[in-house]
Amino acid sequence: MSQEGDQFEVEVKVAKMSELVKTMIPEEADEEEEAQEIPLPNVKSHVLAKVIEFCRRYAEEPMSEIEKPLKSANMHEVVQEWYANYVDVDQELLFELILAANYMDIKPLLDLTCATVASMIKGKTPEEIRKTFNIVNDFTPEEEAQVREENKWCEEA
Amino acid sequence: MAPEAALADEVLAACFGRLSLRSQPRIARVSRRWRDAAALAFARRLRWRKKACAARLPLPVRAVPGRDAAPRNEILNVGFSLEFLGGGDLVVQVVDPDARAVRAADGHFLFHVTTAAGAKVAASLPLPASIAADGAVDGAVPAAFAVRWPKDDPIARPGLSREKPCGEYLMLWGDPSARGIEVALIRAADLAAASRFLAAPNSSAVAAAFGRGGVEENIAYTRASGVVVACSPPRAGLPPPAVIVWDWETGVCLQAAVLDGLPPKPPPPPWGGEPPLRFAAGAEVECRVAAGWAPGVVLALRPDDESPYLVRLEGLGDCLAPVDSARVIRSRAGGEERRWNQRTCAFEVAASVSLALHPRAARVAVGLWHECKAAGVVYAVDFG
Repeated sequence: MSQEGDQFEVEVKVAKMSELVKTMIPEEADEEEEAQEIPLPNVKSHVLAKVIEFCRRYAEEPMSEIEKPLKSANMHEVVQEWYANYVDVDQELLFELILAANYMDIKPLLDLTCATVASMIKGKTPEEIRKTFNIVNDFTPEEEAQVREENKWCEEA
Repeated sequence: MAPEAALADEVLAACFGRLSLRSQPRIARVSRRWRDAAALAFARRLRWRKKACAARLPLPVRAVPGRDAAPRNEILNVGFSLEFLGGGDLVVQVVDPDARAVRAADGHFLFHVTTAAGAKVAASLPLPASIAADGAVDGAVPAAFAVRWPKDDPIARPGLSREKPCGEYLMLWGDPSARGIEVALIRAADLAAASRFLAAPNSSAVAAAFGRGGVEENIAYTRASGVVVACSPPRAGLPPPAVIVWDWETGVCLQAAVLDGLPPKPPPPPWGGEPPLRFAAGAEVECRVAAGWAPGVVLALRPDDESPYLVRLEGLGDCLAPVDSARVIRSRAGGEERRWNQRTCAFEVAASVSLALHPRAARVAVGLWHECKAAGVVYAVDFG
C-alpha cells in the first residue's frame, strides 16, 4: 500500500525482490495464500507503480549486469532496451525511483537508477553538470581554486 | 530546489561510484555537497593519496646481515615471501626460488606461451584437492582448459616479458618507460584477462629510485585493494624503498613516495664491455663447496678465459670459482653482497624484494632480503 493508501496487488515472487518487503512476508508464504497488506508509507503511488513495473519485468527477463565503471553515457549501450527506456524519465521521477529503490532495498533497481544518474554526469564539465541538474555553484573563488588544486593530480594523469 | 537534493549523500555517492576515478575532479568542482559526496564515493582509493610513512617491523630471524641464523648448509638459495592473511596478520614465508618450475595461483597451475604467429595461448590446470602418498587423487580432477589471444590483443604483446602470481591472478608486465608500464592480469580460474597502461609518476625522485633497477619482482596486486603497488629495488643498507601505487581500474598513479633520501647518483663507469668483478685479489671470501661454505682468499682475477677467480681455500687447496655470483663466492665478513646492475653500470646490493598488500587497510608490507643469507628487513608502509 502506497503513501496515498492506494493498493497494488503483486505476486509473492515479485514482491520479494524488495528486501524490505521480504522481511514482512512469512518465509513459507506462496502464491496460494491469502493476500497480505504491506504498508510503504514513504513511496508515492505513481512511483510504486513504476517500481512494480520494474520488478515484474526483472522477474521475467533479468537485467544484465551494469559494468563498473560505466562504459558509455548512453544507457542503451549499457543495459537491454526495455531497461534503458524504463529510466528515460524526468529527473524528478528518476530521483524518486532512487529513493524508493534505496528504501525498499531493491538492488537491481538501485543499480539501474544510480547508473542512469552517472550516465548523465559522464564526460561533462562541472558547469555542464550544474546545468543538467540545476545546481548552484556554492564555492567561494578560493574554495574553487583549492578544489581544483587538490584534484590536479588526477586530471594531469 | 534541485531534485538531486532529495538524495542522501551516501546515495549520491553510490551514483558517483558508478563512474571512473578520472571523473572525480570534475564532480568535486560542481558544489560543496558534490565535493563531499565525491570524497565519499572514491574514499577507498583516495586513501592511497595520503602521506606514506614506513616503519621497520621486528623479524623473528636476524634482521641484519649475518650467517648464523640458520645452519650453513641450509641458507643456500633461500628466499622469502610475504603474505597478509585474511585477518590482516603478516606471514613471512621461507621459499626456495629455484624450485618454482611453473606458476601456481589460486589452486591452478597456469602455463602460457607465445606462438610463432605472435598469439598467446594460456592453459589452466586446476589442482585436485589432495594427492595420496601412492599418487591416488582425492576426488575428480577438474578439466584443464586453454584460451588463445590473437597477435593484436594487448595480452599477447611481446613486451609483457615478466610474470608472477598475485593471489588468484598471474600478473604479466613489461619494461617501464618514461610514460609508464604495461601490466596484464590473467585470472587462473577462468583465464579472464585484462591489461592496463599504468602512468609513470610525476616525480623525478621516484623515477630516479626506480631507474636504478626497474620493476623486477617488486610489484603486487590484489582484487580487494584495487591497486597495483611497486617498490624500487633494494639499496645498500636496505632502507625503505620508494613506492608507487596505481589505481588498477584507470591506471592513474595514486601515490609516488620516496620513503628514504636517495644517495648521490653514482659516477659513470670508467669501463665498457664486461662487468667488473666484485672482489679484488687478496679479498677474504667464502666459496660454496660440497660440504657448505669454505673460507679462502682470492689469489688471481680471470685466471683463464672462463673463470673469474682463482681462490685458495683453507685446507682444500686452490680452486676456480666458475661464476661471479653470491651463490658461489661471497664475502667472508658479515657485510652485504654486491650485484652488478646492467642498467646503471654500477654495483648495487644483492638483495631481493617481496611485497604484500593488506586485505583491508591502505597498507603495504615490503620485505628486502639479502641473497643467500637468512637476513633481511620488513617495512610496513602506511598511507594516511
